[in-house]
Order: sequence, then structure tokens, then C-alpha cells
Amino acid sequence: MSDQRGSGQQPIDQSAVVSHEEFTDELDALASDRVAEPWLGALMAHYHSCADCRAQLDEYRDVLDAVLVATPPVAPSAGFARETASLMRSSNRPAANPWVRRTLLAAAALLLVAVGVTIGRSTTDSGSDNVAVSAPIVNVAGETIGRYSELDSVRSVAVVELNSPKPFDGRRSCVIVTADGVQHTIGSWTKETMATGAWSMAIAPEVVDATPVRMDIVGEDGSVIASAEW
Amino acid sequence: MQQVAAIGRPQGLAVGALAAAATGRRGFGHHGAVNLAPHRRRHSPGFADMDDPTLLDAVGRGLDGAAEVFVRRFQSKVCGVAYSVVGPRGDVEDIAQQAFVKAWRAASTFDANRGTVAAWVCRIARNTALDSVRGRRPSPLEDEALIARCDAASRSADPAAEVGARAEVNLVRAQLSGLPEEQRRALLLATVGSRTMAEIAQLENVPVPTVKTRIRLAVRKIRRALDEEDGHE
Repeated sequence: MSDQRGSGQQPIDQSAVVSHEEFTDELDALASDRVAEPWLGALMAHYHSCADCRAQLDEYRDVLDAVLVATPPVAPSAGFARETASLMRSSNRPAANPWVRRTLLAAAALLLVAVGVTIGRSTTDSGSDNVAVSAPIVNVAGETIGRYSELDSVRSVAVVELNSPKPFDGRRSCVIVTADGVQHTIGSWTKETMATGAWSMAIAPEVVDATPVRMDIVGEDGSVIASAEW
Repeated sequence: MQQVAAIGRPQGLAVGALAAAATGRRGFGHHGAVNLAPHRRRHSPGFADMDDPTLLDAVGRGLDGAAEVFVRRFQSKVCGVAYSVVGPRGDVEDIAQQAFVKAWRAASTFDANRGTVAAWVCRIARNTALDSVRGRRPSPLEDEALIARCDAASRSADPAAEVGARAEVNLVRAQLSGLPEEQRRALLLATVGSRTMAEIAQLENVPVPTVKTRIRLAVRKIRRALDEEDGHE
């Protein structure tokens, strides 16, 4: 994975300004998810500020997908599918649903404290029935940065999970917007309390009754940093 | 509050369809007594009937039989992509197996908004293959063989492709075939061959900006054709 500038010679400062040439050098790596931080951050900053480069990457990504699928096929040897499936079975079985498992574990921790009941049953796969809402969290740049879930158990719980939480100053608030347009701030986190990438908070019954339709992550200056809609 | 059946299902799957596939039944509407054991031994015909996202979800859930059906569905594409990167000297099947295991582990992360399952698994195969050849520079001979293979495929339709994907595969191949040679070579070397702009410039003996222009022109033509095809559907 490329984590260095263009030709891969020198690490860069994320705040460095990326030129059109440098960006288009990395079209394929970007489309293939093969660029790592901090170079990725610098490239994406350019992506969001340059309409032409944004169009180039979006077009290239679509065409790369189409061309890869149209690549001349190669038939494997007989028994490949059975052998590969066997290999997959012999590997550690993946979590049947990682999001459910993680969100339910986060909710379990909260509920144990807030309600004082044991909800070990909810940490099993069958507990997925408790998930009332699940929606990706998308930032203002259009990137999916995590997932928002609402669990209906003893009481409703909001769970915010971020894929790769980045350091930030101050607080981030979790604001639930209900169908009547009213904003309800249900809690907030700091970089310390979000260090694990998961945060959860009980939702007041009156907010649930007003039908939540969106969750906003709001900065201290009131700006919406990311949202999840359902 | 809107209720969802479960999270992590890329395309809002029908629970009944998954349950039916897992048991070998065609669906909950099946009437009469069902002998499940023979169906299981035939790898659950329900999996073969599933569309790609549904099958991938079943694979991610570890449903018995789903993985083999999934591998059979995509093995030629995955091996083809791996072969294009590592060439005849590479261990194509080993790379393809690694790619399928990665796909299985990452099944819940598939995002239908970013493309098809076929493209997703091909990207995994390409990245796996690239990791395996990191540091090994391709020889010009391998690049010419790559282009020759793609050119040969571009001149023919793909009757083996799944019905749903066949139109797009054949459209892309037709578009590739219709590109000016220098654009086709640059695009194939970048996409299928995973060569960098600098490597392509060296191979084609042209400046890097020229390579970029050729690729951009080719991308625009194919993208326009894909958009027009989508508009006709």
C-alpha cells in the first residue's frame, strides 16, 4: 500500500498541497484503496477541492471496475472451488455480523450500567432482532466514516461507531433529528472517550416517540461534521 | 421508527430466501413435506439461484454450501485478474484462494453503492496479486502478453458470463476493442496490468503526461458508453 508521495520516495506532511499531477499519478492506487495515511489524507483534501480531479477519479474507478470484470477469465484446476471452500471453512469463521456483535456489546456495557440488568442474550447473533436502525455515517465530503445504530432492548440506545477515529479538539455532540424537525442532543464525546471508536447513549422515550430520522455529529462550533440518515 | 430486519445485509435481504437456501428449500411457500438432507448434499440449489449480493451475504454468514457456490461463480474472473498481474510464472490459484478467503472475511463490508460484487471481488484479487509481486517489475514481454490476451478477449463476446453481467462485460470489451491502440494499451496496462504511469511511459516511450491523457480519453469513452447503457435499462 502506498503511504508515500507519488513515486514512493519521501513521506509527506499531510498538510502539504497536492498538485493535479501528483493526484493523477495516484488514480489507480486511490481507486484500488491502496493508499494509506498520511498521503491519503492529502490526496483526499485535493479530491474534495478540485472538481476536475474528482471527476477523473470517479470515472477511473467506474471504468477500472468494469475492465477488471471484463478481464479474460482463467479456468482454475478441477476441484479448486471445493478446495477453496474447504480452506475457508478451516479458517476462523468470521463474525456472522460484526456490526451487530460490536454494537450489541457496546449497548450491553451501557445497559448494564444504566439499567442494571443482564442482557447477555443480546450478545448472541440472535440478538440482531434488537437492532431498530442501522445506517452508515457519512461526512460532509461524502465518505462513509462509520455506522450509527439504534437498539431496542430494555430501552432505546444510540450507538455511534467510527471506522478510524481521528484526533480532534473539544467535543463532538450526537444530535438526533426527529420527523418533526426538532434536534435532540443526546450526548457528546471527546477524543479520549471516542478512543475505542465506539460510543453509546440511551435515547429518551420522548425522542423515540417523535420518530428519529437522522443523526448528526456536530462540532463545538455547531457545524455538522457527519450524518446518518434512514 | 423505521425498522430493519438486520444490519450488515448489503441489499436488504429477504430472511426467507436465506433460510430457504440454508435448508435447500426454495422458499417459505413450499408446500408439503420436505426431505432436507438430500438437498443439503446437493449444495443447496437455493444458493445457485441467489443474486450476487445475497450469495455474498450468505457466505459472510457462514451458511453451509454458500462458499463453494460463491467460489464457483467468481473463480474464473478471480483467477483471470490474478493471472493478469502475476503472469504465467505466478501462483495464480494460490493468490485466488487468498483472495476468496479475504472476500469471505470482508463480506460484511461490501458496499453495494460502490459497485458490484464481481468488481469488489476482482479488486480484492488484484490487490492480493499486487501484494504478491511487490518489488518485482514486470518484463515488457509480460506486458505484451497481457495486452494480447485482452485484445483477443475484446474481439469476442463472453458467453460464460452470468446473464446479468454479460451485457456490461461485452459492452466493455467492445469499447476496448474500438479504442485507438495507444489508448487501449495505456488503459489495459494501468487497469488490468496494474502498471504505474511511469512504468507505462517507459514501456510506451512517451512522457508521463501523454500516458495520462491517453488513459483519460479512454476512460471517458468507456464511462460514456456505460452511462448510455445504464440509461437504456
